[in-house]
Amino acid sequence: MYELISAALRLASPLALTALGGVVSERSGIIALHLEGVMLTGAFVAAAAAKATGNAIIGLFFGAIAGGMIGLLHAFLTQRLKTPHMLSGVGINLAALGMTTFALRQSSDLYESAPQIAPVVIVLLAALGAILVSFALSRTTVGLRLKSCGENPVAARSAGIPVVRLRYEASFFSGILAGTGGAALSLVGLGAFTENMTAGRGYIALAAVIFGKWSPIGAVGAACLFGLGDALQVTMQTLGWATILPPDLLTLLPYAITLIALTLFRGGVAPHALGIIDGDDS
Amino acid sequence: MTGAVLKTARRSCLSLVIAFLLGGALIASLQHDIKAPFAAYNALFTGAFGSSSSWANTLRQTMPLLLTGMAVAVALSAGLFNIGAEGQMAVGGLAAAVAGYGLKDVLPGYCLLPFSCMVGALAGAVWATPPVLLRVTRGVHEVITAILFNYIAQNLTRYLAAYPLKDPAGQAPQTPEVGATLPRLWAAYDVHAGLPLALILVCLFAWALRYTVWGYETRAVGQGKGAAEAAGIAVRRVQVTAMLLSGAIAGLAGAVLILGEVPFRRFPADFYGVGYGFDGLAVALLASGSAWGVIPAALLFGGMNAGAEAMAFSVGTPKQIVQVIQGILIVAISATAGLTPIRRNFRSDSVDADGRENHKADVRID
Amino acid sequence: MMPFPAIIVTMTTPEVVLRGITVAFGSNIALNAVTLSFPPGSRNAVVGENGAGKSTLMRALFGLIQPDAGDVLLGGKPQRFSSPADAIASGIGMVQQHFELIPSFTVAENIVLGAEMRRGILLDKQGAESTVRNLAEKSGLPIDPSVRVAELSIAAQQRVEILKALYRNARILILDEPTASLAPSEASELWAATRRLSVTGTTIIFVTHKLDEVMAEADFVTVLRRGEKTFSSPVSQTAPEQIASAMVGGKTGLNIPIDNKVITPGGTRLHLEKLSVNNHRGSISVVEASLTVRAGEIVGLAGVDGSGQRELIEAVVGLRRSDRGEVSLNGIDISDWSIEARRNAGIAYIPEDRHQRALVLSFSCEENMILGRQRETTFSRKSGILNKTAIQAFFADRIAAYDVRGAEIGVPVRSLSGGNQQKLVLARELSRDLSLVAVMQPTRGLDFAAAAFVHNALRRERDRGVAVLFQSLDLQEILALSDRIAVMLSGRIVAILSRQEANETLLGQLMTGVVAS
Repeated sequence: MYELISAALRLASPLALTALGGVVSERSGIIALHLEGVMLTGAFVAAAAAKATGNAIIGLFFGAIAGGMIGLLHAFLTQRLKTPHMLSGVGINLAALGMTTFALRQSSDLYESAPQIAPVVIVLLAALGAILVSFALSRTTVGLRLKSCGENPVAARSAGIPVVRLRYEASFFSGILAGTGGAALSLVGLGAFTENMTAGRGYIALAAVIFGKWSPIGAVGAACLFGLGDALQVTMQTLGWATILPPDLLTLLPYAITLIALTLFRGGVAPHALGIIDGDDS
Repeated sequence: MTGAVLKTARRSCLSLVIAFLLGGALIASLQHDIKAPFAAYNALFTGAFGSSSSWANTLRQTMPLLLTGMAVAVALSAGLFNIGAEGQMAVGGLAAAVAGYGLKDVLPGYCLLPFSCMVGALAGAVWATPPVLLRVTRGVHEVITAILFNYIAQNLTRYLAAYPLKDPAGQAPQTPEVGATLPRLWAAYDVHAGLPLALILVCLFAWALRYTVWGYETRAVGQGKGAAEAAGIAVRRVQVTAMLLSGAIAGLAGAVLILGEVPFRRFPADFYGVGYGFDGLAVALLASGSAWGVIPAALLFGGMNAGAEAMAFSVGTPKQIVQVIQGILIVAISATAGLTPIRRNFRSDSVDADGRENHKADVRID
Repeated sequence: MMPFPAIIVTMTTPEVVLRGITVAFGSNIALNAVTLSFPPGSRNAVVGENGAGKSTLMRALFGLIQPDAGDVLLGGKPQRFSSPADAIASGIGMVQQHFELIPSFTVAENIVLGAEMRRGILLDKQGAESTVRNLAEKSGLPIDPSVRVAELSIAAQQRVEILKALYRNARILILDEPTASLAPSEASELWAATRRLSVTGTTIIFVTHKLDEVMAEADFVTVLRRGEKTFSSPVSQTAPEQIASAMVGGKTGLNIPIDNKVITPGGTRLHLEKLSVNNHRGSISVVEASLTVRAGEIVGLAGVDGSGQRELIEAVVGLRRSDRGEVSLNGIDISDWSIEARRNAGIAYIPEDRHQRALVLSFSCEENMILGRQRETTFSRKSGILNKTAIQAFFADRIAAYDVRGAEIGVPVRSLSGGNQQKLVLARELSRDLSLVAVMQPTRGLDFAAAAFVHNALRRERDRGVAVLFQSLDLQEILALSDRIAVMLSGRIVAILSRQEANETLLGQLMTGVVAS
């Protein structure tokens, strides 16, 4: 039981960090379909930087920054170039997958293990992130302004709020959180980057945002639920259940849980201006 | 009319140039060689169109892309984004493999082949059903559910092909060989009858979109949902139909791949991820939702896929660069799209089952 | 932006002068060298017909648009407002017709947004709420600062907008058609608040087209007509007839020809029996409305914007579910019928929002000509293939009959002018066997000639025995077109009059609840 819970926490915390990033992005009005690409980039850059410097903390830092850069790119594409948010997300994810795999093939030493980070660090970071985001959104002026951009950018603008700049900042910070989540994947346990190592976790994190009704605590709760599904699957495999239930069916579990959660429990209201391409109005 | 087509073509070309330039910059920086992109692109082009065998390779790669590209385009014309084509293709392929093997002693070859294809298409349609039903009834965006269905398809087909449906005679995790395969067009090259079939279907689709009531209503829903609704067109029915058709075509793509002679004839456990479904997204977007545009776009991507192998082999540039270029391409096209059909399909109608809000969101974009 | 002080500083209000303001949209001159002044602490009405330039003038004053020529002077000094932020900083506040509020935020959050009171990085919620409460009490605009805006009535939301301006120290307050969606009692509360504000020195400028408001609530009145100032005077020295004639341009009659044809209606086509419709928030939009429209008559729905007319018509055509009551057509209950079934039963719909509801803008003209009719045997064969020849022939015939200029095969309907788009919609909707035509705002945004064309088309339908139900916010249009008039107020049909019984004053009073029928 203790193992199960600790495995659940370990597996949930990257998801939770990414989901928090998703909350920040979506509450500012930007659809966070790019989280998969952010995580993957974060995982890759973290592993590469940790390997190069021999220091996992530096790796984590660079992974987070790389995630932030992808967040900025998504903001640039959606806010400046007015790309539909979903398409920008799909394109970023595809390019990130290609780019990380390409770079991995170019530098074979990444297959070897890099310095690692203790899982407890990531769990603490996720908890800290949850408190920080939740506090910022509900108690600070920045949070109020951010939410106003996601709810009614026209009203926000006439109240003197620089909507686009705030969205860039939100998307950058969102990328930092999700990039940290990605970095956790490559720096904890395995200590190396593998091809497509996120395997859809970015999408699951987005589902957690929706399932958690766009609240930071809700999203983290949903991420924990999915983490539990993942941990169950891993535990069952190690307990030798594989003879009864093959691993492929077990790995299906978190996706199935996400899907069922989305189907049954959707009741939240998305930010009003989520994904609306600004400037096309009038 | 022609003006609009020209504009679309010009935008697609511009996006291609941008994507190849950025891809080239990436190759140069990762291989620390300013000349590397030229060598890589040269190898890519030669590998795609340099000889009759490379042409054959390109056509072999183009065939499934015609189908998956069309699958995505069908959904797009009704305002839906079928990101689940990859999963529908895997499920369709597996179903066709099972039918092609299981009924090989029951049905004669000329019946078995079309029957297996139909089973594959049906399975693809079934796999596309839950996402679109969730969209029209519960308002869950089809992109998220279809992505989850992709992962489920991946794990499920891998499990089925590796365990219950595995060929007991062999070691490899794959289904037994099918009883009938699509014939080759030329003995020397593995381009099979799937290619003309796909071309015929694309033409049929392009024609139907323009000249039938179905196509008219589908386009009306895709381009002006509010007006279509007020005109009495059953918006939900049109969207569900388009998505099922899209899934069926993707499923057929899987079936045709499995039933073609090379490389499959059996469903391997690692079939999912063969990539044609995801490439289909880029093909449909490059075609800007135009049915005819699917043909050149599929040929281009087929050529890139075929050339990528050759490029990896001859100059050592990893073939994933093609994936990078495709990702950049999607972004570049959608960023330059302006208010064209693609862009309109993606205007953010809030997916709450709430007419008023939908209306409001639409107003903001136009 | 710096947070504003929590106390209201009494400042002197500068005189506002608009000097030679000219605004052109392309070749269309919206305002032509308008000069006006608003003394400190006065209450000013700016009146005019739709499209006279009232809102444009106010938007120029608030920095939402930049005039092509002319100056805004405050206390004699010329100002350059490149955005509303500049106008706000100079002490101007504006409450637009469409509120800019965030429903999920509380009243206090909405008011302080962008100029928050803070403690360090923290949002000072208590401080904001107590400031707003003080401000509300002082200005006589009662509101609970901790309630979410989504839960407020329109009138309360309007108070929030006014408080938002006052919180930013507005000394000049612009109200754009402030009573358009208020009940009479709510309107009188609003006017009481503006009186109190003007006593403390705040200048009030309101846009309206209701003469009774001008006479009762303004110190000065200015009339605009087609972008020009035609009249300006203290209200105490003005008779209502002077304002009315300045608005319509000297003509005493109406500018829409009334046809006084006596009609003999046939049998009942549409009947609504105690119809109730809820809107998307679950509150009631139409309350137990009962109405009959007979063959060969035109029934006009009059009412202040948002009184339930839209919902009523949408429930008739099937775009909205009715919650209680019955909609019947030719004696058959169609309450549960689909839009398609209703269309096939002979209901035509001409919506207010052509671009959203009537046309697929990227479709060609001939494709739009058959929208909703594509399954008719004339236009498609049983096999489901469109009959292009028949479609093109029908299209050519209809655009000739309805004189749709610029409509050609293959040309996107987007490229047509608004008037021609509306004609195309009429040509499509009216060219078939009909029982009922449901029309919303038939001439919104159209020029005079196009509007007359639309009116004649609707009269022609009536004369061939079709029942016509239309809604308009323009009372002149209601009076000119209707054989009978149903007046709506807060979702109820409060009166049904014949045209002979009705006049603009009576309708205005019924619409606003000044008199009960």
